[in-house]
Amino acid sequence: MISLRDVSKRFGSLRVIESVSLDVERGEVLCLIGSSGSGKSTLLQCINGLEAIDGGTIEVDGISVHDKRTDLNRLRQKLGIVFQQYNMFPHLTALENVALALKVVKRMGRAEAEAAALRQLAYVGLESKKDTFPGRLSGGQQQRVAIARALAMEPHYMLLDEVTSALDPELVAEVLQSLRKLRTDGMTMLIVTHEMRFAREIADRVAFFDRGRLAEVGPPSQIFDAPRDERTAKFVGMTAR
Amino acid sequence: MTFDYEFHWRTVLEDLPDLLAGALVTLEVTGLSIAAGVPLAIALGALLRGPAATRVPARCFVEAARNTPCLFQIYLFYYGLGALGINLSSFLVAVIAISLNNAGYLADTYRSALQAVPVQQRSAARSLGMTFGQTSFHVVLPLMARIVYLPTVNQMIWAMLNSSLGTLIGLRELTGVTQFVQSRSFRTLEFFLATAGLYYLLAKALMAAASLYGRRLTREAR
Amino acid sequence: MNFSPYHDLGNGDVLFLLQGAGRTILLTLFAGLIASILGLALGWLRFVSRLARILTGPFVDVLRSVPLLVLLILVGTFVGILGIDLDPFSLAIGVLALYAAAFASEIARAGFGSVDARTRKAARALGMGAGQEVRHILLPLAARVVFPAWLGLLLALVKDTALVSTVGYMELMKSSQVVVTQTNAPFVVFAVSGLLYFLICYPCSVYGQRVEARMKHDLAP
Repeated sequence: MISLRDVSKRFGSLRVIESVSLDVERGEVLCLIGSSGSGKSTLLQCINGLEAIDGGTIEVDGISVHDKRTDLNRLRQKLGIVFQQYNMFPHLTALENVALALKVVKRMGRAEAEAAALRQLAYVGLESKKDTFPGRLSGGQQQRVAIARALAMEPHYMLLDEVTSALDPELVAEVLQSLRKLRTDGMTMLIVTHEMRFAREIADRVAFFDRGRLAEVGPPSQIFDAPRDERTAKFVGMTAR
Repeated sequence: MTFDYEFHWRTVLEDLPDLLAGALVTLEVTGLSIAAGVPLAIALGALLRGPAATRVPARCFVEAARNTPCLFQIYLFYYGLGALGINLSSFLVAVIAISLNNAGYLADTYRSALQAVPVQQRSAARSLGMTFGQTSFHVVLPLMARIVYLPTVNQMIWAMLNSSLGTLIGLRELTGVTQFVQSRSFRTLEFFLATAGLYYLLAKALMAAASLYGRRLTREAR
Repeated sequence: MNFSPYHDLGNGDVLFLLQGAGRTILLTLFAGLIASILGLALGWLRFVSRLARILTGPFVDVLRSVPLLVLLILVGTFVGILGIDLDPFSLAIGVLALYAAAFASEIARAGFGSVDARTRKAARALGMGAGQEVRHILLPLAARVVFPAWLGLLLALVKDTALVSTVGYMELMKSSQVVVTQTNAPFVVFAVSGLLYFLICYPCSVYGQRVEARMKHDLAP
């Protein structure tokens, strides 16, 4: 379980996140929606300790993320994260991108790591691109390799940070397809997205963020069809054309 | 290993006018070698864009200039011309050798700058009735200047540093003068520390002067 | 005028020049190795620490604004005052390495700075420790970017070694001078030594340009 209690985060005087409390159960798919700059992406990076927090606590399976005694590198293996800009390692092939952390973090042998990496590439349908460098892959393909790279660590949770917003429209579908597959396989996911239709389809619950605050959490039917919060209603109304 | 050296700065101060006279020679060599090097580099840049008959010899010159030491080039002119019975002053040899060195290093920069000025801008100017000369002077050169500005300033600093090699053929520029006056008192350390400081100031002064000009170049861009 | 002494350049003279060229290469490799290690360390410090950047700024700035010849004389004098008896080879390597390290540190810093922070974050997100991230992501990516500049530095170093002739080390430039005084045939001798310098530098220079051109192709994100 990922559990946030009163989490706050500032950049200088700007309050990006203000006392957010939220629980994500194992097996659940939670979508975070809200306008740009509302603090959703920052929140994801706080959850795996890439960003520090200024108040509150974040616990993953009972382990406090921002406790100094926590072995973050170990904890991060539980938390797969996929970024908006794919963040491929440009000097490594698709297969090497996936296999690197298996070798150096999980200390797998070369053959074992590459076999595991190949399985993950097959999972996202990119087995045939294993020896291709990121520069020669499309955005959608890079993003799928990034998903495979995170999955290879066998995380308990996947954090997905606007994984389709840097993609050309025609490439969005292939990435969303990989996420649907993950859901079917029972992966716990925290998805920051601007794809409202996709959120409605895939989410068990949807959380609406407004200016760093959690405005409303509920099942998709509530958020999209019968929002209780005025701000949610306004946002959903606007994005639904 | 102890450092109980006693610094004597007074003698350096007394000889400061000599050092400054040397610095002036350094500036002269630097200025002349850039003033001659830049037109040469433009010519080389044009030759490099031309047919094989002009490109190949120009390329040979550029690669020879870039792949041999500047000191070698200075010796080549000094002793080489001497062997032919042409005895030029060390000042002239330094200026010639460093000019050619500058031209070699800048040629490719000016070649790509010539390439970068779009044909449309050239034809726009010509269509207004400007002559080839007017077009070159008022349109092409100012546009090129922005591209070549930084590399040229850097080369000017290198030219100043290279001018110190003139010492080795007897030129009394800053290093040469220092070498000479320190031999009267043997306060080598003090003299060369002062000279290093003067070089540093010269480099900063050249950069400051260049940036005054550079600011004018980029005023439209800001 | 004397146009005829071509036959005066015997096999022994050519061999002597070749030995000089060998010492030039040796000087470059030694000084280049030390400069690279020093430059990498200094560049790293300047990359990660603002304080280090401020403290080492003048060192880099001054070394790049003072002629190598002046630096050679200064260090030579200073070492003499300290009473250390250095052979020309060690002195030359020390000064060349120090001088080149100033340039190398800037190259290294630019290389580290060229690596996208998000790529580094991705590595940390996979559970890599800081050291692992530096070793597997930062260093290889930075090395690729700066390779042509680093090769350029080595080339500059080959040419800089010519100045070491002034402290009496018998590298290619000094060897040429010796042969010139013996044979009194400056043109022939300089043709040979110029060719030797060219043969050392030009292949590296062409290779560097190729790598740079290829990189513009490959490393586009």
